[in-house]
Amino acid sequence: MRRWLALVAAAPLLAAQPVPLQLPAGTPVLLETAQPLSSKTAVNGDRVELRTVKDVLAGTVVVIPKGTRAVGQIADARAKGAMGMSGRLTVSPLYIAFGDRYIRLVGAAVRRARVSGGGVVGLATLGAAFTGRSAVMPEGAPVEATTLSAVTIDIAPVAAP
Amino acid sequence: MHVIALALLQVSVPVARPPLQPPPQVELSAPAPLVILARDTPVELMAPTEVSTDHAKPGTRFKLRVNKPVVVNGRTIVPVGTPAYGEVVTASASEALGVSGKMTARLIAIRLGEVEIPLDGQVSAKGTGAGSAGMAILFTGVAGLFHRGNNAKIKAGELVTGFVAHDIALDVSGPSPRLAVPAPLPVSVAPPAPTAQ
Repeated sequence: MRRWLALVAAAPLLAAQPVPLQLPAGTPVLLETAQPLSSKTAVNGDRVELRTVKDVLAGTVVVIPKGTRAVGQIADARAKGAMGMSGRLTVSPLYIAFGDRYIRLVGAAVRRARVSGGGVVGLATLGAAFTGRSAVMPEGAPVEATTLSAVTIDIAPVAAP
Repeated sequence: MHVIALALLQVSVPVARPPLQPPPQVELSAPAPLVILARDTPVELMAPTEVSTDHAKPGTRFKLRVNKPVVVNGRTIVPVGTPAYGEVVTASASEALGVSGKMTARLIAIRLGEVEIPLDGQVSAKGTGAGSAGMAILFTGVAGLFHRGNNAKIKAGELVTGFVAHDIALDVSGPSPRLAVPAPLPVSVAPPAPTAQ
């Protein structure tokens, strides 16, 4: 009887033990920008703060919870130019900082400034002097990424709701 | 009875033993403090000088420097300013008709004192050119066709992110980190297996 009681008492402790979970390469991770960006001010190489939009699961277990910080970089920033040339902005996700581990990511989010009807009229009337618009990425803009390589993480599992 | 007495006598006879030798003194030194720089640890680097397809060719090595310290367990392992280097992998120069240059480069290593920390990471750059070529054709006509595009550049001051390529153990007991020499594995001496007669 005592043995049974001891086992029942130890059950939650055993359940909380960290277990190694593997996140395979190519696992999709949906991110969003945590700050507004513009091709007017962004420079190649600038760090970009990102965060996960959804829980990342290994089976039914949450490995990376929603809202986890990730870091990206401006891979290409082109300012608007003459002749109605629009700005362009490319954000590449780099990694998720997860405790003392780093999960490397690949992917890109590209944003080009749209040319409006007024822009076309401006280009036709002002010609080369007419400049395009800057590319803007508001806070919360989606950035699709996937994990670069398989990662094994020791975590106390939290079942997905 | 006699047999028992004889046996007792044999037991009580003092056996001549060699004098006890003091055990050899073993120098017990504290293990060298080791720090593991884990694979995929990000390293922020900066290009101190411009790398351009104007002069860079595949195989050209270029300098970088660590822009943010790499800290492990609250200890700065790689300080700001530590030199690093990369290598141009592909480079195509700009051409007429506004064709812009393209370049890809890979990061190779950080030079931390005598230790090389291998890096993983790529940089790609593309020159702008379409707009300027259009302007040239607009203002100079046919001569504008000879307008060259811009070279691809890693601009001076541009930030580049690399990652530690594999786990590396560093001995940080000295003034500058050294590669930790792995301790020899304990050799277990198993009794010889009985041979079949």
